[in-house]
Amino acid sequence: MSLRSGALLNSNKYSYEYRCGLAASFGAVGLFLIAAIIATSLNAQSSSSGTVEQARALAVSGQLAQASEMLAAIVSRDPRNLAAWEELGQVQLAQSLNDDAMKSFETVLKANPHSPPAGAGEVRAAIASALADRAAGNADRALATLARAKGYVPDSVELLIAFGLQADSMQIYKDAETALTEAHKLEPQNPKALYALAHVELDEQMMGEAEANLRAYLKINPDDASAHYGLGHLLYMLSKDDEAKTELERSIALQPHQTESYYELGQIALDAHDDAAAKAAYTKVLASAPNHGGALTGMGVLSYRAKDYAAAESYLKQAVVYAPDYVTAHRYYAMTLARLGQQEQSEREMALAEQLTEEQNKLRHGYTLRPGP
Amino acid sequence: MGSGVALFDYDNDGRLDVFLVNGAPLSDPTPSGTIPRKTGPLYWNRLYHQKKDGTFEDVTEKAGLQGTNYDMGVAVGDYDNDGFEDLYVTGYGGNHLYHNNGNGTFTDVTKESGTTGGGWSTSAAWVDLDNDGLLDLVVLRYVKWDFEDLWCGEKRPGYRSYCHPDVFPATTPLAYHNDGNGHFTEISAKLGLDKPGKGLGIALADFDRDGRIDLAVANDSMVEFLYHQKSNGSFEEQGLMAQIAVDGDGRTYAGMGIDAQDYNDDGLPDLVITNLANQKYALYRNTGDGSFDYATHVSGVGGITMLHSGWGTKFFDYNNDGLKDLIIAQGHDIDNIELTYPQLRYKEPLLLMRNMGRGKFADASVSSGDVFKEAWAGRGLAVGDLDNDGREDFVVTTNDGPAYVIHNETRSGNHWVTLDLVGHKSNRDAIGAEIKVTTSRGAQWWTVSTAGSYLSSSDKRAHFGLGSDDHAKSIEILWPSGIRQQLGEVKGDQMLRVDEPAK
Repeated sequence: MSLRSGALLNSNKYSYEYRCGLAASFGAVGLFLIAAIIATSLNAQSSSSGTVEQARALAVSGQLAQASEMLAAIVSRDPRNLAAWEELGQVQLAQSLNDDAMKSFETVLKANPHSPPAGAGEVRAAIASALADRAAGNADRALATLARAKGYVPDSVELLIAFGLQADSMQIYKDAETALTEAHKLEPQNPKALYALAHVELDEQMMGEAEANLRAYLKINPDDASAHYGLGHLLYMLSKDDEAKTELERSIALQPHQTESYYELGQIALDAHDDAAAKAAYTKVLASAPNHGGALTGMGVLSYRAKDYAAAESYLKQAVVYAPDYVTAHRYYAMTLARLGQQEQSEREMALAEQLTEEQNKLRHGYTLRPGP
Repeated sequence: MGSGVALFDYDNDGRLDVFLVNGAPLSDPTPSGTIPRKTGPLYWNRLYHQKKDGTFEDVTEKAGLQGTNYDMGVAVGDYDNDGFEDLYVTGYGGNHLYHNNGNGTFTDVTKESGTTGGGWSTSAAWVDLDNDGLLDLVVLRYVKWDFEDLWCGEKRPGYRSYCHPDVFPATTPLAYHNDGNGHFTEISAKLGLDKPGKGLGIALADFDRDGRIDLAVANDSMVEFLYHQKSNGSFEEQGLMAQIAVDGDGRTYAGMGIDAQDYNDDGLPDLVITNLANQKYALYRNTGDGSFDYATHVSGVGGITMLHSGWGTKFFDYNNDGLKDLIIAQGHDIDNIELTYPQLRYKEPLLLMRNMGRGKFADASVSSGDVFKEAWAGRGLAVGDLDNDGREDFVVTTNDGPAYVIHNETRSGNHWVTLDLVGHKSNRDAIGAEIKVTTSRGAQWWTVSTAGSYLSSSDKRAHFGLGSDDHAKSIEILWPSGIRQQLGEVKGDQMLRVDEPAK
């Protein structure tokens, strides 16, 4: 009934049909009562619509607080006035009152789940709210907000992508994958969905699927340097070094002013023990980003290999400053210090590397130590 | 964690027999401090005697090898040089030394030998640490652990998981010196072999060619160890300096199985250490200057093993082409891994990596028979030529499943020679001896050992593929005693017993 009321209030055509329908159903006996109800409803509608229009005008002129106050008064008088709720949601959204906006839009969506403006508003408000939560370091709340919105607007590709990305960043891979797969199903050619899905699959180590989706994305956006880098990185992880190099070089051709593809080429060369090529690649990285912790580490490793421990120390000392969480840098620094006879510092670095490894293991494996149920 | 397997000829009839290790029942929950005991035949360790026709008979009871505890590993060595191979069985809450009486029976001599150990023992190695002609015993232990009701993994039903090793403290290995009178003395601290680790696999070789045996230890989720033996007979852990402590990125990994042999035929023993999916099995090429190169990527091993989890592993030449290949028993450690990582598998097929020469390996599993398509929770693995046909076979143990005997039916047309070294001044098993076999292709080296792999013990005989040559141009043996022996030209396709000369 509330759903049909929404239609009645929003459209004269629907109002007419609805009234006819009611008359037909109830027969002559109830007609008087029905006519009375309709008259009341039309009066309320007329009165509310007028005010909603006024509020909209206020909002358009930038007087958001007044508009909001006016709309709040309307919905307080008439909680079934969905047009007012919807307008209130828009105003709250403009005021960055995202949680309030979501509540307003959800009131509309409860009555009319397929309302496009309310659905769009809910998605915008939820994403804005989640972004703010995320920026404030409250990832759980961000995810909960997106999940709530997903309950009201289950087929929004934009929302599914936002949810998937948030879940992925929290290492809730299965839920991220489900949401992004749904987004991809709804819009198979949506490049954002493809890219995000590939990212999650990469995190889930579903390498084949990630590679296929990245390649599909690149068919749509062949000149996306970042995606070529991403594919190159993935192929490197799969030890498909020649294919990886092709993608990374393509990324560089598209975007010569970058560091990451050069860095990745350096890593490939380092693994292949092609030290000259690795050095050339790291040098390019450091030319534009002298504090690049990865490239400094790479140069340190190369120097260590060449038994030039003084040079290794110089690079790695910087690397651990600019990339303090990079275990590789700490470990090679410890090894270098040991070679230089600085045993105490070496052990300190090694302990730090072990501590970092343990922390990263905890994060990666998600294990906790606690009593059983 | 699984259990081990040993391939050895306990009755000296010339045919390898099989010993399989088993656990014991556990209650849920198990009270802290419990030492689980075997309750009946279901949990017995098993000795299978190979009959003349190549079939096996269960002789466990007759041999007296049923066991008592929650056992895990096994190491084979003739510690009293009486010509009969003895057994050391490791496990949780105490180990057992079984003396081979030479009449098909064994006697549990644990107490009088002083080798009970304690804690959670895993792989063990018989090796003559001080070259006195008597095999000593090094026993790894995993972590300090008890039956406490810890919960790891998610709380959702079905998502409980084994705890990460980081949760538990490391513990020291044990080193038993063979006193020569049936008694052993624990001297790990004296020898410097007492660095706390989370040891699962042990391999031995003289890595720096200084004439003294060194030890390599696969530790789980911490740095790997290389114990270098110094001139005074004590050891110094040098994994970091030798560059085998971590992978090429300087990261630790879940070291489980290990083996040491010279895969690139440069006369220097190399190392392989298996680990978990996404870590890539670590292949370390010995550079000869006391350090190793992380050769996982350049060898192709990284690409092949990216998504695999490996346990027991051995270098062996399955096709007799003169190049040492790699066999690995596989399967993830977490039995519900598919729930969190759908692309990974708890049960995995065996992996056979063929040595293509020039330091490269290729996955030869698919073309090597249907058995390489079967998924198991593989753990222990031991190599040996079960039917003495000149082709190395192997046996694999699985978690909650049967053991598998894999018969090598490779048709290559290549020739081979298998050497059964008998030490006299050296330990009788010749463990630690280095053999150099030269063919028209060049030289290849082998260090005699029953250790390596994971919880397991392989045939002590040294097997060499000769390729298309029907003979070895020369064979040179450096015995643990330091005695060098030249054999000259040796006909191929034969098992050859070689006795250590007096000088």
